[in-house]
Amino acid sequence: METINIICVDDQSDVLDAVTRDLRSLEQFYRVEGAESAEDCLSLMNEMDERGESVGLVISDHVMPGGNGVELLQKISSNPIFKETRKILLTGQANHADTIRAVNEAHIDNYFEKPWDPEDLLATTKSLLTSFVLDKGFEYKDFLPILDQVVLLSYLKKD
Amino acid sequence: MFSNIQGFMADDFGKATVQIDRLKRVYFSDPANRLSLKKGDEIVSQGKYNDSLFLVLSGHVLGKCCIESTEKQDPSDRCFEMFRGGVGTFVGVHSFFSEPYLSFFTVEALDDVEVAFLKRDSAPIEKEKYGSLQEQFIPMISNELVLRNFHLLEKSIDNESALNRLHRSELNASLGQLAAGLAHELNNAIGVISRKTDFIAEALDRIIESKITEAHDLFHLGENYNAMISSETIRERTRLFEKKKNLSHMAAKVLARLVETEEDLKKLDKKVLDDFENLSRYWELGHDVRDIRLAAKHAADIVKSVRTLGGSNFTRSEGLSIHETLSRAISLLKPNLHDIKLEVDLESAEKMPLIYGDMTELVQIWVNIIKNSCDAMEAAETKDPKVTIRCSHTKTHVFVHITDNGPGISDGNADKIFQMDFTTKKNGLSFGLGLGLAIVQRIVDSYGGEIILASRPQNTTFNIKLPVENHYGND
Repeated sequence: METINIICVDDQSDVLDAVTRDLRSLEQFYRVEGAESAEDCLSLMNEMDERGESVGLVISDHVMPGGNGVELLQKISSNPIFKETRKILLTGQANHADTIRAVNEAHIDNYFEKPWDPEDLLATTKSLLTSFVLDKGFEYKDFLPILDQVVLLSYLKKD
Repeated sequence: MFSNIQGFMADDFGKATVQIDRLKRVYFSDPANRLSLKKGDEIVSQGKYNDSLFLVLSGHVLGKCCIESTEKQDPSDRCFEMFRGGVGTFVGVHSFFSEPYLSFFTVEALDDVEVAFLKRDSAPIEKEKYGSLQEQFIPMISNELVLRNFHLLEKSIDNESALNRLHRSELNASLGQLAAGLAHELNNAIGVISRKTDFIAEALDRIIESKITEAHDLFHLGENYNAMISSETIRERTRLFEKKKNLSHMAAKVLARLVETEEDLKKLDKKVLDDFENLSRYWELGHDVRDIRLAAKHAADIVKSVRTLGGSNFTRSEGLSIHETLSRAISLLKPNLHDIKLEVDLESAEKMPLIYGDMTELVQIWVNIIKNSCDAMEAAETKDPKVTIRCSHTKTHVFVHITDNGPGISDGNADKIFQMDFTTKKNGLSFGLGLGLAIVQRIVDSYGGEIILASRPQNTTFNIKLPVENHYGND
């Protein structure tokens, strides 16, 4: 079975801890990792790639020292290796212009404001990873119990 | 006094021209036509008939115009200063030359004043050469007109800056009230969060203790967790423990934070390790309590810095030592300086006169400015970052110069840095709120002091000027 990683990025360890904990219920099928900076996230992604694992989703904090979340997600989307990687921006200080820029330039799939609703985050994560698994052409039956049924159905119809 | 008017030299105005000198000489030299006045005596009175032109020979005079009140609440008349004069000032110019010869305003003596006077019916001297009395006096009239206009200009400049100051202090006051109100409400909420967290923690502690001793220990370890381990190290160890100890990812992650080395691992009770999958949850529970406490403290710290905006509970008094306020600020900052060098010119600090002020407020000023410098240098990764503090003083003011070798403040930002809500800092705690320098500005303003900023790359200086005595107690 494919190893699919979810990486949460936040410079504040308590926030990072909380986000990764919210996704714990997915641990049976995905690996949930934490990174404390944009740089840390990028090197972690390369490690994973070298190990032959894939990065399904990056959930990044917005404002961090050393490199902000929008820039990080932008870098990820411009790297062909991680073309399919899904991206969520988790922001503490959303302002309209910044958000629009993030959506447009970094091709983020979703954004959440802090404090986030854990059920929403979990549901969004599931549906983004479902489309990731299918787009990558992985054996979706391995992940069946946590796939988003609506997304799955729409893919199966297409085939 | 007009030295700042563009295009003119300081003494261009008021400098009597040759013509005016002649007038003074030929018309005001007769010792018989002189008057001595005491302080408060009126030379001309508003609305009264006047037939003389006066020249002040000694002492000082004040011209004022009184206006009938149109307000019902305050029926008393209001008088406005029109001009001030001394030796060489002419009085009664308007009423002397213009019908119906009534004074437009009152001119009174401010001290012992001696004036020479000229009656309207006097004959012009050297009429053939210089013309009628009116014609001869035109240079004097226009000169007086200009002088008085400039007096009014000065007054209106004063008024405008007083109005600006008032506006700013009112803005600060209302923001302060808002901040104080918010701070109060938030503090109540934070108080509840931190107290209730303690209650829950105590209850959990008792419950867990009565059931499993090992779980109790882990709960405490989580609660007091304080290690700074990078997420990279945690990830490496997690992978190691997953394989070696056959733990789930989440239990291995806890173990990775709990032990620093394999040695530490050996020290752990076998019973704990055997059941770690289950026991790790107690560590997490303790760690959650810790995070809530820290977050509450963080929130309380922010509230505290906001409250300073509304703060008026400081007591200022004579005899405050600048040197001591600087020492306190530095000891507060020391733990956070990292590799930033802080140099204080102690000799200049010790020489400073004692001033009127409050310790807490001054410490706030220094801490916020120095912290601002440090943050800027850290963010810019300045090489050999250094903050230098130097003091100087005059008879009336003390100056503290705080210099850093950081990236500098752009011209565009120089005006904004003291505004509330302006920040270039994207991370950090209370100092990323854009409050630090706004607080500084507010405190310095309230002392009647001044902040002078001089910035270029590698050299930014905040010059703080504060009065030695309480000049500003009149508001």
